[in-house]
Amino acid sequence: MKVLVVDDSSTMRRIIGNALKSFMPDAEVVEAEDGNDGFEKFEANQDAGLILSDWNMPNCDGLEFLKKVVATGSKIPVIMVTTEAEKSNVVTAIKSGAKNYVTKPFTPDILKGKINQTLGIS
Amino acid sequence: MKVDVNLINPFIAATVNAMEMMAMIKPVRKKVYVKTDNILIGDISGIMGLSGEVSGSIIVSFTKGSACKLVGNMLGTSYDDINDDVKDGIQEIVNLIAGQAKTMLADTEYHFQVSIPTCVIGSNHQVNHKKGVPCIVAEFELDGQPFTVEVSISPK
Repeated sequence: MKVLVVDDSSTMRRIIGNALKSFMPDAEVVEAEDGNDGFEKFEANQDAGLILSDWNMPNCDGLEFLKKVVATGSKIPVIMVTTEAEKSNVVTAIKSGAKNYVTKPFTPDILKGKINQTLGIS
Repeated sequence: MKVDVNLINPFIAATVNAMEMMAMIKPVRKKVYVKTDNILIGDISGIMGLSGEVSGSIIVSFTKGSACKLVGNMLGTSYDDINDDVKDGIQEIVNLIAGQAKTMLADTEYHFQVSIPTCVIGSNHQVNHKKGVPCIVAEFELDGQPFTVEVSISPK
């Protein structure tokens, strides 16, 4: 499965990529470094099965990116992966179209659980 | 000026949690004290301004060895020297620590907003916290090498 990972930290993109490959050996990770780059990669990778996006990023943040993706009518599920753990932020993201929410820091098992829950994998 | 050293506690908990979860390494907490100069202990420091209902900053300062060990563990590799990977990793650790502390302080007068982290490299480098705002330092060891978490924060 192709997975678009949007995060301004190259470290976090690599951590997520390493975690994905540990439990999804067929994962093909496409990286983007902010919401603008993420939206370009989203348009160019409509065969992606999942999007994981940070919230706090320069230029175009994760919430704006999420709203742009949702506005296209895309069915690709978006999971927010962010340090923004306050309940009001979670509610805002879900109301804006995010399918799930992972708070940083996380372990690979936590990420795996949220992805499986989102994709309906038991 | 009165200093509430308990303010450092959410940042200490966030530091331990971030490193245990993202790097599978447990930092050992040493002492906590109020800082009186601008000199940082390390070779590389991650810095983040805190804004919103407070003014202040957080600085996490590492020796070369502790920075390389931490980021190597985060990425499942090893580093001998500070490079772009280590620099980005230290910025991300500051982001993880500040983000968790922000949630812990959400319902207090110290509720803050985070900014994009930056990094300073060089031995005995100096960074000024905001003048007049006390700076509390928590010292840790990581694999036997020191690092510090400095928090300077006051309500507006």
